[in-house]
Amino acid sequence: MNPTRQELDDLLVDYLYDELDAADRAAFERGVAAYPDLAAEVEAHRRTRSMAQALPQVPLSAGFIAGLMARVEVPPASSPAPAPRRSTAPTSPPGFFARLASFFRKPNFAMALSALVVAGVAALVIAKGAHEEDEGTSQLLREPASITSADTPAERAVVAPPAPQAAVEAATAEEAAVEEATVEAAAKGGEAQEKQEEDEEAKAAPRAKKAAPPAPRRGAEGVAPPAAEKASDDRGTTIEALWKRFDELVAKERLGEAEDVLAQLARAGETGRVREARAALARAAAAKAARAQPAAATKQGTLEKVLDRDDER
Amino acid sequence: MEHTLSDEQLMERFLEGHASAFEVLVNRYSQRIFNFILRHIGDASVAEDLVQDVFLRVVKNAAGFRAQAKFTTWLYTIARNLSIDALRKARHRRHVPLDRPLSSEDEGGATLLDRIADNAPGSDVKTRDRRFVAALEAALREVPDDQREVFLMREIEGLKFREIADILGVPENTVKSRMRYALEALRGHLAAFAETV
Repeated sequence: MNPTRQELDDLLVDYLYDELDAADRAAFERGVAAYPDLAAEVEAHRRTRSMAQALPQVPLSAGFIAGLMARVEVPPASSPAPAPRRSTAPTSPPGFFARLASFFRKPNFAMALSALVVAGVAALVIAKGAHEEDEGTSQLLREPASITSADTPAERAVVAPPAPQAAVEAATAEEAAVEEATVEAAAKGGEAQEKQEEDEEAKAAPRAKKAAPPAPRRGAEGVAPPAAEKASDDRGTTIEALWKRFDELVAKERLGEAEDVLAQLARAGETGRVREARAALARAAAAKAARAQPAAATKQGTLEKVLDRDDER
Repeated sequence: MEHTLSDEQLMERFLEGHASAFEVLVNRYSQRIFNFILRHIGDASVAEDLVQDVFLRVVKNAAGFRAQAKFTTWLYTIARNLSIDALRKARHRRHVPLDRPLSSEDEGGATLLDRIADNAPGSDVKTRDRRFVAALEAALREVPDDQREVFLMREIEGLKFREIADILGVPENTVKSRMRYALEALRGHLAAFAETV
């Protein structure tokens, strides 16, 4: 059966360009014979195509391909996978400065640094306060309640004294930790946050030390004390600490502060020992005064000599 | 050996680091792409620049080539897109007859016909009526862009209608219709020469 005119029209271009299979081509040639106008059109298109063959190929400029190839960047020879075509990744791990630079580009750097600065300032404030307390009359001996969880005034006073020294040490350690954390954080990037947390813990440690009861002496013997006995032990430990403090103050001839400690010990019930200690304190005060007297006498003698010379004139 | 490989195999080898494989592809297609672009935009100097751009773009996107069905489809798609962009930017430079200088920088210099004659010794160009070739060029420029590109791809570049449809992103029957219109338009413009050809 021959194709219709419409079907022949649809096949015309395929026929001209040899894109029909043999059967369709034969069918087209049989069918077009029935339509002279269509056959004339096919012939006209063939002539046009023939004319178009005269369209010359314009050659590229000499050296075009060489110039183009000079601009072509060849993928790395060892990469069968297409993904990274330019091998720019270093083969050795980045150095300190590279890691430092990469850290500074990280968004969490500012946050970590800010936290470290705050921690450092807080440490300095604590250290300064502790220093002042250590230099003057023991403020903590009189008003320790605000920083301790001890129940009785005596206990509050006892647990307080170690605090300034601990705070100073903690502050010093904290400053060092801040510096160290800064360098470490710069080098390790993501570890800055951890370091900051460690700093926070270091800062919290003295407070915990103040708040926590001192280690029970019997604990060192390997016997776990019952709760009531533990409280008694705690109290005994604090009294012993007060006595130790008293001895230190006497040795340093800070007799006023030693007297304050004795008063606390007396309130804690250490009346017998306190009486003896007062006697010892009185002796220490007398000795101190005796040492101070010759100097005063010398000063007095010098003054009298000056006055005598003035009288003679 | 690489000259016997298919386009796709050559691209694989190029991705493995063999520059020579890409050079084979350049030798295989640069001339054809140049003429395709030249017939599109009419300026040889610009056309050469665009041919460079086409192949450099191939290099740039070579890693993604494996998803492509056929290298020539991809190559002509790039060439066509760059040609259309160039036409939009410099529409006025489109109508460059063969007897005009090759580019705006070559005023008074060689023409396309000179280059054809000089580089095709023994070809029919020497004996062919130069007037006919000029008329053919002029007739082609009169054909609408969408029909001309189909005519060039099929008649000059030898691409199949299916492949042209893929490049243009239109149905195959649309391509065939445009081809028929292009042939009819050319026939009308070249009627005066029909008897002599």
